[in-house]
Amino acid sequence: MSIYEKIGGEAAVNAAVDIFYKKVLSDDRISHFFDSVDMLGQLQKQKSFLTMVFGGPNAYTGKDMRAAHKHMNLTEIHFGAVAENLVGTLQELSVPQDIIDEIVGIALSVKDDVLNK
Amino acid sequence: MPQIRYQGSLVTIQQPDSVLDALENAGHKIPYSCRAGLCHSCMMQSAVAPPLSAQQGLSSNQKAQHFFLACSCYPEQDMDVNRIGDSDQIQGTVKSKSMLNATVLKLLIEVDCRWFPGQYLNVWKDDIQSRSYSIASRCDDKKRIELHVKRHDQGLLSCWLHDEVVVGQTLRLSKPIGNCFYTDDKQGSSLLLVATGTGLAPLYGVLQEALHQGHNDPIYLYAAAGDIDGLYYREDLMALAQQYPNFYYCPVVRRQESRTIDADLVEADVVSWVQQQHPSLKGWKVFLCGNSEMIKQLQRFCFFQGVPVDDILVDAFIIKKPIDASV
Repeated sequence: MSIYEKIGGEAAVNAAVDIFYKKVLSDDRISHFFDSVDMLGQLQKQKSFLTMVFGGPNAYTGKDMRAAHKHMNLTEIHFGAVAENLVGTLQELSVPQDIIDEIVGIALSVKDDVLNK
Repeated sequence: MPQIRYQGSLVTIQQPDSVLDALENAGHKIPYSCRAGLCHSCMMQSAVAPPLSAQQGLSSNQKAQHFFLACSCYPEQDMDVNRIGDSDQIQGTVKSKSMLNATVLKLLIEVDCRWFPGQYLNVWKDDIQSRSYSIASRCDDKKRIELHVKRHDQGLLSCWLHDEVVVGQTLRLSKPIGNCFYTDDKQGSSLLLVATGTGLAPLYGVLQEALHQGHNDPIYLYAAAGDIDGLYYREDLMALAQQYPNFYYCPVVRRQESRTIDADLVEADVVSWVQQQHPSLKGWKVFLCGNSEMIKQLQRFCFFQGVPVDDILVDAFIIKKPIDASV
């Protein structure tokens, strides 16, 4: 069983995305990346992101990740902030620590692509 | 086997292919990402109602427009499908022109298509220049689209529509598009409508549709302008507020001139005023139209006050600058 299935599939993503979005919008280190007038489009992107880190169905490749983030000049600080907010969201939803660790592992696996290293 | 019509060609769907698979096999390039009904990259529009399973996760406004996800669509009947946004041009005839205040023109255009009040369409001056305008009228038998056009001194389209276009003239238009409209699943919820300037056009449409459909819960409409001269439809809206006890009309101006102190007018910044009046918005449905800075601030506020993003419908106006030939 994948983590995605274990934590409840799409319903888990829907529960997480609201909390996660509020966290990133309140985080001065990264809020400007998410502060667009197209909130619905932003939410959809974050659902895709959460689906991916939960190990759910997605067709992201390293190349996509690189292309999508290339022009944003992201640093370790930005990546760390997103990871922190992700962990905070999962803790708020009482996700067990071993599953949080697995999810963080998936997030870390795309780090070099996101930071264009 | 069902067939789909796309960009003038017919594609047969072989089992177990989805619409996305079939279009790709026929050589069409359709954007996609997850192929699992989550990312919405492959969202398309159908002429007839698509299978319900292809609309899972879409908003009620997207469903009302027959949007569907190509990757999750397994039709049993033939379908006419389009990419969202590439709709054909239509024609409309100008039926009347009148001024709503010193700078806003009310334009009535007769068309032969359906729309949801609050959607917008593009008006074309020629092959290159177009602007988007929102629809303030309900779609009834008269089929008249009402647009509110504010004159911008350097505005190519607005000056043309104000000064040159005449009653009886044929205009080139796009089909109506956009998600900012009333659907019957909003019944049972309080509505918050906030407009700046001619953002009132789509919300006037939304309001009329809500009242027409017998919306019983409270509806608050905040119409904001720089000063009293920027407001319009005040008498109409005050009359509606008299007629419908659940409708509240709240005009807000940034500055009130001392000569015309008006008890019905609030002098405030509309963003802070709305925040003050509505400290809790759980269960509300929200419509925000006009200035994009107002929209950004209020949609964030509403989201933090407990309104899901899906229940905040927005129409952000962007003023296009004319191309400066001297540069």
